Amino acid sequence: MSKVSDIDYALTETLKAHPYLINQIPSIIYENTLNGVIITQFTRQNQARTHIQNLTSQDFLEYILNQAVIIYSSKNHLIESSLLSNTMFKPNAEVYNDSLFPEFDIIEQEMTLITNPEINAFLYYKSNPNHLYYLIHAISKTLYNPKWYYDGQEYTSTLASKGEQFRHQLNEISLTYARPYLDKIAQDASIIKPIVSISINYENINRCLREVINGTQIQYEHNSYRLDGTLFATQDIGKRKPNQEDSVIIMLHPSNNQFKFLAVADGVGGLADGEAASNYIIKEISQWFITIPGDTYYFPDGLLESFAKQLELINESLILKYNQRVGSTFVGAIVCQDQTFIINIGDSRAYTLKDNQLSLITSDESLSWYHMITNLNKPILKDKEIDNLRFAKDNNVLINCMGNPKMNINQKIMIPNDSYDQLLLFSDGVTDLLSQHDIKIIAQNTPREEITRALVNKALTTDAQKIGHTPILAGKDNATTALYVRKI
Amino acid sequence: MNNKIIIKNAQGKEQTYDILFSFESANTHKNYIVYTDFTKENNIIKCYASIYENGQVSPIDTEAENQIVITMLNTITESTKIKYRLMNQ
Repeated sequence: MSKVSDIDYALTETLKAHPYLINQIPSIIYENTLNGVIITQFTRQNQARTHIQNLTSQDFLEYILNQAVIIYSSKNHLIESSLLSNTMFKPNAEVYNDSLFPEFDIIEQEMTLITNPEINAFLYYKSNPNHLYYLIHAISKTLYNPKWYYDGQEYTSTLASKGEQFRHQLNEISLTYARPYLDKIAQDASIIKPIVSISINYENINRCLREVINGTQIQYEHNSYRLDGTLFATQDIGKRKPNQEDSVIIMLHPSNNQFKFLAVADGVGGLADGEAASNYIIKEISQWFITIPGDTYYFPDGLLESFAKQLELINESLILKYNQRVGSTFVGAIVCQDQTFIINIGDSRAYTLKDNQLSLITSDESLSWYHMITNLNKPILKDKEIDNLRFAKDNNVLINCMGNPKMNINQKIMIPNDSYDQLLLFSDGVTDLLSQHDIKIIAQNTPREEITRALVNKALTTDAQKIGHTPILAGKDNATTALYVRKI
Repeated sequence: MNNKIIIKNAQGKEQTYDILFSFESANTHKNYIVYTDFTKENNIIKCYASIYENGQVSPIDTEAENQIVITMLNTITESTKIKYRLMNQ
């Protein structure tokens, strides 16, 4: 039996004995792929256990890549073939439905990477664990999900029966079709197996971080960054400002690239060297993030306090360096295993999007916000009220910002990761132009790679109107958006 | 891992480069290092690779080793969507 079949056998036997483990299968495979085998997670049935006890993380990765190829090949083979009418995979519309091939779009997307001759699939998934998790999730859903539908009927037989039947059929019908892809995986394995160790300098590879550290980001009129398939940022100088005073960072922790940081700072207009302030803050806080131990991702106790403390120290050094001549807002988020920690100072904003719900999770530290909550006598504003803020005369008057000796960190926020699918950070050059509805529609309906670009583009091209008020002109300010996409 | 490395060019002049990544091969028993000064040619960032042993760099010997370095470079930089190209020293 091959190693790939060993894993399949062990997982199937585990699930037969312990069906409730179904939801843990993706994380079991994921942990084993990244860290090597943890046999105790598998069934106590010795027969299954003996099949996996000598397997390595490389074997698990090979298993995942092979399963992706077989599922991908099967569906495409079925679409092309009309010779299979006697199998359970009759080439009618039912065959291709989401029940039989759930999350197929993920598999399809990842296959473009797996089959790319310029990319080593093993190295790619080791260095991009998010993509690995997406792929494992899609494969587990296809092979091990107990509920499935065929010819309009729901089957809830033991999940193993679906898996066994399904894999058998998949293997038979797709082997010829899959052969070139399986050969590519075998070739990638032969290249990567002899690599004893690899050390990647994410600081240099991440263009956003590099441009923040060397100070060139604020010299460009337009920047667009992406990292890891989950982090994105776009900024534009706009139409009416001579300088780019916003700074933005998206980055992965150098020793744990699941551990993520994103932040936006908006140099305060009217004060000299606004761009210097925002760049300085983002640069300093990014360099601090690099120094945090990588396992803080798993054990974030005290992280929010040290995040705040660091911003206070940066504020002190900013004041010393520029002698109170500069100011900047700051909104930043650190994404840990289960929680995300956010700090907001000033009137930049953090939003979350979950299903259909867009939520503003920070408050503007501006006079207009203060007046609105005082007048309405409530701390939380409705979407319409938030939309109205931008037309208030005192909208741009900050009551708190960095660069001020009296700065206070009032907003230290922890949110559970499962409370959002997308986390969005904005400078007011975007949120002054876009309504809550605009943000939600664009974030929901745009491919993830294009969301930040689309949001900034909208702020550059569409005036904000309100009856009885002077329109807010498109591109009136520097516009910046950073995005973390959590959900598959 | 150091961020930078100083290397003498063909004219004997020292230049500082940023290290992108390094790795060790059990087949060849060598360490390889890939680095750049981030200068561009046709909007593609120029990179260089060398064997790195005992603080000294030396050229990569074979085309097979070179191909492995190219694949690793392409893979590691894929998520940034920035083009890098390995140049001859």
